Amino acid sequence: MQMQFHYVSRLLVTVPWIAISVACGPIAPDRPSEATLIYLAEDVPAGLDYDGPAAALPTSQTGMVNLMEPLIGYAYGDENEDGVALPDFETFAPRLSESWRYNEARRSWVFKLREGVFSCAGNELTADDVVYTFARGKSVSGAIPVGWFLASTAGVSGFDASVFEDEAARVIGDAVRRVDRYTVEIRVSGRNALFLPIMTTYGMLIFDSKETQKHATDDDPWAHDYVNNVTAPGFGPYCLERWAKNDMFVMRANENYYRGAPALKRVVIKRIPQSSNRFILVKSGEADMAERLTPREFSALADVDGARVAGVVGNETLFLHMNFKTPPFDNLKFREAIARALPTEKIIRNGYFGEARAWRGVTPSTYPGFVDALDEDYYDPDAARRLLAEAGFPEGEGLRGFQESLRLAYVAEKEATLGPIATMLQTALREIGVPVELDPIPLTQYGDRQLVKKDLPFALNDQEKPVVVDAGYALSLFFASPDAGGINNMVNVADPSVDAAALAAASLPAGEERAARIADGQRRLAEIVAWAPVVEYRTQWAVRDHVSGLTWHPDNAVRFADLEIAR
Amino acid sequence: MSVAVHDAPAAGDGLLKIGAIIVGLMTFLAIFGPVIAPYDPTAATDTVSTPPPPLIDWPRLFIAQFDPEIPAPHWFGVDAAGLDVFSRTISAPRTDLLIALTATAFSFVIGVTLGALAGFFRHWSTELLMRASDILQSFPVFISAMILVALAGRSGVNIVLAMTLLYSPIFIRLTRAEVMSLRNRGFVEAARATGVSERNIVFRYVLPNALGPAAAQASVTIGFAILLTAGLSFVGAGVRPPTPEWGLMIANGASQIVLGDWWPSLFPGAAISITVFGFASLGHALERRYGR
Repeated sequence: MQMQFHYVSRLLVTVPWIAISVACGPIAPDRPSEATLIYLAEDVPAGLDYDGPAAALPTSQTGMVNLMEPLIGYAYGDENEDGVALPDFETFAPRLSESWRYNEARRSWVFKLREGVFSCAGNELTADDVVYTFARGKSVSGAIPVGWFLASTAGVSGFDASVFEDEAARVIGDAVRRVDRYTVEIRVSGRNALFLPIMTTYGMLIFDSKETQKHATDDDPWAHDYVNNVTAPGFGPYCLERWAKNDMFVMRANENYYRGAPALKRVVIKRIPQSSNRFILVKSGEADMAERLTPREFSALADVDGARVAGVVGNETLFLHMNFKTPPFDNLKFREAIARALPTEKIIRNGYFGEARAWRGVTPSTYPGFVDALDEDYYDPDAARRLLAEAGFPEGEGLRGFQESLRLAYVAEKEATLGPIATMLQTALREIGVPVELDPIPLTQYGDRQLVKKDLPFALNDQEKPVVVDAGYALSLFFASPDAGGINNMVNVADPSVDAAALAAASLPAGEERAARIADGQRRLAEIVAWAPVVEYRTQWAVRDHVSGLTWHPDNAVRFADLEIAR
Repeated sequence: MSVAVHDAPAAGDGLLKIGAIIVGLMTFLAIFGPVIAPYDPTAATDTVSTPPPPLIDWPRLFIAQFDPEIPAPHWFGVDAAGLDVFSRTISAPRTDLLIALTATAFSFVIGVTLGALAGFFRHWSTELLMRASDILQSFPVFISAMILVALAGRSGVNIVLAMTLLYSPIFIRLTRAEVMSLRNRGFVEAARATGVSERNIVFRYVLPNALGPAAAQASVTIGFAILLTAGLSFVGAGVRPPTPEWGLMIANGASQIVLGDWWPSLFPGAAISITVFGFASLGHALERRYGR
């Protein structure tokens, strides 16, 4: 039969290949030179303003971090088995600032900036650029106040909720001030352990204030429209050459880049929405790199000559979201029954083809402060059945009345990856008596219900990553109640001890007490089954063999300046 | 789809037989498919993306099935979610045929009734009905169905309702034309002369004589309704996964083709083709035999 279908198989592969070639046209406007890299993504950046509406999109973040630069970053240590350099989360490295220190007496951080750092527009970095960046964040004038939120979480003085009530509170004042041309002081409420990790993130990238201000208008004094839709003026390794939304994003090297001009002189990010098309194009050598293939496609690429898969267990996880406000998920024993019925090993084997590992906590295990809160033998269908009976639903009896709640939602655009896993979970849950239906919904609808309405009863989620590398930050972000400052508490957990842990994480300096409080918070979250963790999966890229130098960052965006290409 | 129809009666008989056999088989599967399927069509097995066994092994594997200890082979392979493609392919007619038959039946009943009234009575309301039908038919059926299902929600009932709305004008127009050609015939005048009410004339004398074209069209419409059901699922506007449904199976299998996995989409694709061919053949044969 296989022989007979040989031609059919070839035909089925060839026809889509021809169709893709015709549909895509040439991937780049011209054939790549030695120093041009073609990178395929689900989309090109939708916006470049981190206070803008597209800030949360990974593709937008890829654009931001390659055009702009933070004050500090993480030091990089050894490469892993895939040749990906990993950050050392305990050690910060100079970026735009060459040194920094905490002034206990003044409760402030003082950053000494590098001299001779120039933007794509030719402007030199000064303390004014840092002051402008913080002032812009505090203005809360963008669509989403990411800059304000991160500065607030870092404990920067004056970045509190009053900015939403009082226009006068939106002025930066002396919270961030220029000491001299290359020195800036940032006042804080105390020695907050999150301050330095937050300074490494995409939401704290420094603007070229002169260039940005040129594009300010009376209606838009902080130039959000320009930054979001034209370019983000910064001091990063690349300058934007061409940006056709929904199609292509082309960057050229910033020859003035302070760490030396990037080896890749041109980067073409091309939108190829279907992962199977990205797979084919990397496989055939038409593209140099691709992101977000399905686990099966990554697995298949391992056998392809000239291409490889590079990855890292970073901060991407898969979990079940069960809304505390929606019956029957308001029942702890029911939530625990669900969590114990999840066939983790099967999902690792059949859903991720071995490129994942069991997740036994609520924060990424690679982050400082992670607590392994679940037993090795947590998966236990018999215990799940027992718990289901104790919850009042023996063998699933009585659950038919919760048909709407038991629809397992997931992002429809991720069907190729999440669909098979959702089916495996559905099968496992039906085996213990829980009549689950699958409900793939569009990303926009999913995001609205998760982040804004917070009314998704039951969902399979693989897209949450705490961008600040700290378990305490993850607690604050995902599990603190709204009263305690939680902004992405999608399951509506409201637990006083979790809130206390989140508060401690945001206010205590690094040390044993803070670590203990954060650990207690994580154990409590595991106890009340705030999320049902499934796996931590590898963040992967399909890479042609001639590309090297990949580094991993917690935002999962590729830093093209680190790459080298040898055709 | 178009089916070549030859004038020779033997060809018409052949089409009728082929169509009847296919429709009979699909009806059988719609009733018994999930029962005779070797695996639960919605439950993931322990393997994924497994090809069908080589054809040469099929006789041996078939004979081995008489031993209850030996698990059933995955005749059509296993898809990326671990679902048995054979079990899903033979269970899908229950979904596809049920939706197509129900939608066609509703369209037929509504369309024929309204068409008969519109053809027999001359009134502003019947003109309004025809203009509404024109408007409905001026939009592409697939796009309209997609919009309607998106607005109403993703469920089998809503797909049936959307199809009923979109296919009814076909039957309205066919029946109206037929009734208009019959309403001045002698037997109608005779009935009227004997005092039969207008309503009885329509439903007892005219309509039975006007049903032929609509009945022949019904079979073809079922084929199109199957295609539409599958098409809606293919674009993510049909039934929810992992319901066994051919369009959904093709959609899920399509992304695997580049990896060399031809089996998850080939078998449901073939099943759709055969089924639509069967209904179209039957429709054409019936039209030739009992047509206008």
